[in-house]
Amino acid sequence: MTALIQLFVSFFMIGLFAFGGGFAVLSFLQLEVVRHGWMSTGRFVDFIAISQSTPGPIAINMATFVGYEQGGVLGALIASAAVSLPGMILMSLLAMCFAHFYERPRVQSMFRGLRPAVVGLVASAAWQIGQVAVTGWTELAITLASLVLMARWKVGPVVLVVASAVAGILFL
Amino acid sequence: MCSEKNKPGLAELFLVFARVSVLTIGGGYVMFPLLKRSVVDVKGWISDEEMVDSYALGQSIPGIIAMNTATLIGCRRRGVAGAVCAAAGMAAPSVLIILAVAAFLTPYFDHPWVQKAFAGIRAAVVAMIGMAVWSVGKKAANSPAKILVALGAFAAIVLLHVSPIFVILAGGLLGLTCFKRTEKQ
Repeated sequence: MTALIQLFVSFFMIGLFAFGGGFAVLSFLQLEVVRHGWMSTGRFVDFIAISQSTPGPIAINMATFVGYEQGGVLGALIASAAVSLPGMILMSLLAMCFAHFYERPRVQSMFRGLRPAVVGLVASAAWQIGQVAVTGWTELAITLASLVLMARWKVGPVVLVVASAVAGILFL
Repeated sequence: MCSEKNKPGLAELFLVFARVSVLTIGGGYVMFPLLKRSVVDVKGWISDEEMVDSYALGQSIPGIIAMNTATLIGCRRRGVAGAVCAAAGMAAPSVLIILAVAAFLTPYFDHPWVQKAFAGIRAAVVAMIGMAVWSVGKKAANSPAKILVALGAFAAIVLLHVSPIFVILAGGLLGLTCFKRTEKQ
């Protein structure tokens, strides 16, 4: 029971502070997972890969995964609901009360500072995950090849996941 | 604006958002064109402009872009019940598919081939997150001061192990105090 409450609190806080969508949620989640010792970083990265190559919002997929590991089906539902609730409550309030909230100058200037902070946040997730994932020259080659495929040919995540899995089986 | 003709039923809201969710692989940015097609072009629930605004707001409020956008569109058309139905539709396929994967496929995770495949995928995931940083960074960190904020946030987390919550709060405060007049257009 305390584990489920802990799960709800953790995911609610993530939902409340993760500005910038799935990847921001991911960087928060990574720190929470490490802090509570929920799973190894390697397993967490596997979950990211699955979450990216299955349908639906990445953050919901991740929450379902981590929640299921910690508390079964109920844990999965609690984690998914908890991570969604803050945004949903804020959105409903905004939709009903402040139609022009977004255009206000103070809100706009706040976002101008928030957005680059989110960029740094997500970059730190890439850095921390990279330390676990990129452990040799072959892995580095896969990372660089993926970057080129995305930047040059706009290859999507599903193709990339399949291709890197094949590369892993063949070369690692 | 809210004519009876294109006022959606609650079940319809759920189903339309569930369909968009099933077709979205790879997160919020992939979702936008699919959602626009369903909600604007096919159903006519909201206008093009409302769609862009909803998405911008969905990105700006904390939380999950897809869920926030679904909540806003649902709420505008059918109030709180509509918001809940749209959001539930967006989440349901995700939860069901991941539960199936977690329940039935995890035993195979230890197979050597699966391990090798995942080692390859992990390396690619680093690149995917790196790309996201780059594409968002080009728009969000478009001045030397903002690049400094981004680098500061990165260093605070990686080197000083500061909680991201404080980094976000500091970013917002910096925006309120320092980025007021610099970019007024």
